[in-house]
Amino acid sequence: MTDYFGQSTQALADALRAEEIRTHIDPAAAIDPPAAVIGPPALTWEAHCDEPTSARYVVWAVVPDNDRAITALATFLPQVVDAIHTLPDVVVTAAAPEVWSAAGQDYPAYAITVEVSL
Amino acid sequence: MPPHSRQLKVIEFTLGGTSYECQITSWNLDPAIPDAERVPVFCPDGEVLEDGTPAPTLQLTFLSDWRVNGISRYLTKNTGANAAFQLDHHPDIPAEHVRWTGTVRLKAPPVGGTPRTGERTEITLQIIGTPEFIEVEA
Repeated sequence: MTDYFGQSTQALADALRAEEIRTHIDPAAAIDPPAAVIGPPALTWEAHCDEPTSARYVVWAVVPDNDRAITALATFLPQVVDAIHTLPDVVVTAAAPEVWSAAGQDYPAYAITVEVSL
Repeated sequence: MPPHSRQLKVIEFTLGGTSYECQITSWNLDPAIPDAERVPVFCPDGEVLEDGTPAPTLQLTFLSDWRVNGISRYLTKNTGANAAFQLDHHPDIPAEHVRWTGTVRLKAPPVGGTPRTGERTEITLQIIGTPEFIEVEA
């Protein structure tokens, strides 16, 4: 069975967990921040064959919702980005402050755009 | 007669005997047949058409591949050599499957690009002589 992005998702998760970052690949999971959440990627087909050639992930860096959230994000974001950058053919192109919602609760977060060559 | 249109979707492309269609993101085989030059003459016909010399090319845009058997390394290491190519167009549609075969002069591709973007290469290869056009039987 063809796997378009399972391997790249697992590689991202492994790289984050190797840096002891709690990581979820199920966006519906109940999380315990600080944690990273990897959603399914947007895929691009460029070549004359059936497999996609690149994937764009949004990796969420989520911290607890309290009065130390900004400080926590300032520290946690570089940890997540540095972990992602240990992978070859994976680059971070943007990070924007967002709200991560799960199980009816909102958390401060950064949405990190990650480009992966497949 | 209703319109007929196809998506550019599937090709089969070999260069020097190796398949590279999964690296190709854009291709253009230009027969580059120049318009004939009109030469007026002093006789009842009034003019002569002088055909120019075609200069066919094969333009490729591809995902760069520097692996040992990758197209980027192949072109770079074989600069100046000739290589046979075969390009099958619409191989998945039997009634429209056509093929070009010929020989190109290889050359090293340009390298580089913008950081944090996919590595891509554009190159135009000269086709030696005239490529052969084949209507592949269904």
